[in-house]
Amino acid sequence: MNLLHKIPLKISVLFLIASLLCSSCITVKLISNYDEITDQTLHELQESTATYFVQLERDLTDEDGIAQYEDYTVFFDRAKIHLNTLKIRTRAFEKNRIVVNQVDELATMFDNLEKAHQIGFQSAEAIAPPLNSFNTAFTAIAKLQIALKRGNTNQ
Amino acid sequence: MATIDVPEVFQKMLTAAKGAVEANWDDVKPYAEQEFKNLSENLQLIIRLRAENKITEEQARLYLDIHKSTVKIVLLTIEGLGILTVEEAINAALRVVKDTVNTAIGFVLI
Repeated sequence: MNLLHKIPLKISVLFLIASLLCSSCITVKLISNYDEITDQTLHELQESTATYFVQLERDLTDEDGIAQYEDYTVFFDRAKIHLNTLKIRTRAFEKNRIVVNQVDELATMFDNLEKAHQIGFQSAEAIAPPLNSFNTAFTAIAKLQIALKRGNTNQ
Repeated sequence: MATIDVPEVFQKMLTAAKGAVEANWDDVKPYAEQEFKNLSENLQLIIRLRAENKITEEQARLYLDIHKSTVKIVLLTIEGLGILTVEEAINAALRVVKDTVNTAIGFVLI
């Protein structure tokens, strides 16, 4: 008799837990899903930035040592296009505050880099700080993207 | 020449980050330590280049703003990694419940 009472109770509890799990779709999402387009666009932006710094260093160390801003406007224009795409894309996803904020900070970094270039660089040594900063920023962003991707495959 | 105490800056950044992600600190500590070391050294480089007049005052200010954005991006990654760790822990617990329920029921209910 006692046993008969316990079994339905146990099943009821399991059904209750099951219904709770079903209602929450089994998995909990505290942060946005991985987005391949965001990751790919960030990768393209990182590559073009790396190319910019290589070209800049070459121009600053060649015979005339000049790297005029006017010769680099295509890079900055393309970066703005990439960043605009990223801003729109990242804001379209729920629970994506962290990546949205990272893209906003990245856009600020490019604005400041462009202003620094407009003033003019005196030597290759002078571009080391922004190069280090961009490398660190892109590494951080990539690290989170990789973790988001891994998080998706774990589910 | 103006200098900064790199180990002190490094330690302050580390302490600030630890306070923000206390629960998951062990997971993100190696990454945070490496990046904050790089950031502290970069800060010193900006100050040296300005002191040696290799960059203008305005460029130094812009570099510091770029540097600040980088610190924010690193901290956001640390925060994100912490959230993912919590998310994974919750979902692992839910999977245990799911397996228990399915086993008890005798078929795949959830």
